[in-house]
Amino acid sequence: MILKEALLKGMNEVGVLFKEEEIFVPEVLVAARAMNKGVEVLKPYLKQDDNQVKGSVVLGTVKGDLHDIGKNLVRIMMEGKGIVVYDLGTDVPAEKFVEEALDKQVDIICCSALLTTTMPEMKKVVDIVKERELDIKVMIGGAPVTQDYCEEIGADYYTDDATSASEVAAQIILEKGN
Amino acid sequence: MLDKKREQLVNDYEKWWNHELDRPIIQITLSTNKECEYSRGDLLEMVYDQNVSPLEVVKAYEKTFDTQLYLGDAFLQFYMRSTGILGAYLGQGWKIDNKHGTIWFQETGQELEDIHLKLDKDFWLYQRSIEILKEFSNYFKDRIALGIPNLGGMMDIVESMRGANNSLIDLYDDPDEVIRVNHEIFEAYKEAYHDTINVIKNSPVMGYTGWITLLSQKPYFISQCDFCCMIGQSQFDEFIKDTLKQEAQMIERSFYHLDGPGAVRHLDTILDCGFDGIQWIQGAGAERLDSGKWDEIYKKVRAKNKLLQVFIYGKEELNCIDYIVDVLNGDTSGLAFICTGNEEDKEAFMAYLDKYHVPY
Repeated sequence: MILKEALLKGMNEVGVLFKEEEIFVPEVLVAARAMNKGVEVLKPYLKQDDNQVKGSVVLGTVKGDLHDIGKNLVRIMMEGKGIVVYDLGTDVPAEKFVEEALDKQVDIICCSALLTTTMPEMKKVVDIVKERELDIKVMIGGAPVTQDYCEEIGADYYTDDATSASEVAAQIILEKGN
Repeated sequence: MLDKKREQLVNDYEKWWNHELDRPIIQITLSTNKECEYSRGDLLEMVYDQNVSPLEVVKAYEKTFDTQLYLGDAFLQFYMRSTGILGAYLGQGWKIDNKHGTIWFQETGQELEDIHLKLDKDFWLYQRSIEILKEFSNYFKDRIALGIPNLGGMMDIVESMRGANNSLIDLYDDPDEVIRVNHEIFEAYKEAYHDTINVIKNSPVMGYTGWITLLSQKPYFISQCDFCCMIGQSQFDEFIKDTLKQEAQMIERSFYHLDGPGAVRHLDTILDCGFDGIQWIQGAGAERLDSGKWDEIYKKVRAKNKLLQVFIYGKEELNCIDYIVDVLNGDTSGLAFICTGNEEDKEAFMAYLDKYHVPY
């Protein structure tokens, strides 16, 4: 009850306010910290059914790019939806995304980039997933990334903010029937 | 003694700074087919390598200059990359990514209260920055304009030292310490600014420039705060605004680098900080300059009688010049277009020089 109706619901509201520019990144980070502390306190009391986890993703900023705040916001918003996020950090090579995705058996690979020069690494991820015929969706995002680029490289989804990314990921997982 | 072209450039830019030039500045730098021996990453590595003499750096740049064509209001210029170098002067480590031509200044791993910053003028990179400027001045004399190293924005350096997450949470957890560190960085900034500006002041060069490559006969520099894209108005007022006002007051000819849609929410405040001009960069992935989405920016900047500069990438974007001029009801004064492209498109660029009466 506390988890569903207070913590996760609260984080969803934070996501909405962030998307509407009513609050900004520091407020999201502070809210996420509060939620995580709350979850820690609740952990001993949670039953298996209380676990909101419906699916999982690997997430990272692509090779050559050390920016992490966009990626972190995506992680926060996804965790707020009960999705398990394996955060690979920054400067992540394409092969590593796929290896980790297979190892963790996730539903989605999420790639972030802030530099145009590093965006081709996203295509590499898409190419490897296709080449190996893996049942894993690839989502991309970051300031220079566009829907056109998503289509050009054959990625499955593009979103232009962290809240939308979490909504799309939740939808993908729902459709996969996890 | 300046030759005729350089004399014209100096005069036109001075008129432009004073809002007296009856045409826009249109600066065109085109890459030619000549093979460039040094990549952007190579040049960056040389600048930061103690084992490469300043003269070798100068000669490498000279070879690079020779592979480019300078048209209209363009001129030879040098400034030391990269954004946020002040953090390195203050002890941050760095890593150069040659492939992408990027430098990354590294987090210090320190808690905020453990960060105490003072500029060490004997630090080799600081000394080298000055030596390189002097070498360019000695070698090119009045054939070049020089800019001071791209020091960076105060809060951008705090962020770079602490990491984005930590620095944002610091605003809530320890605002006083954020202000203290910000203040220490600004004190170092002022020292570095004056030291390096004085090197240019005492040089026989064509003038001052910066990473926004405008030409000025008075000290000129660009302020920035990319950090502001992540925060709201109240935190901008609390942590950023006062420093920007002081920067604008200190720098004789000051520009502000407004970077991306996230920064636009602060434009009104920035316009009141006292800068002489605003650079607008919409950023990769965002709508083009002629999309209609940024018209309010052009109008607001010019309505406040500030200079406005934008970049034009390739001949495909040249019509953005017409678009912006149209949005401003045909008023071309106070506008600067810094254009880059390829020599094969020279005719298209030249047509714009003709159209706006810019001497070749």
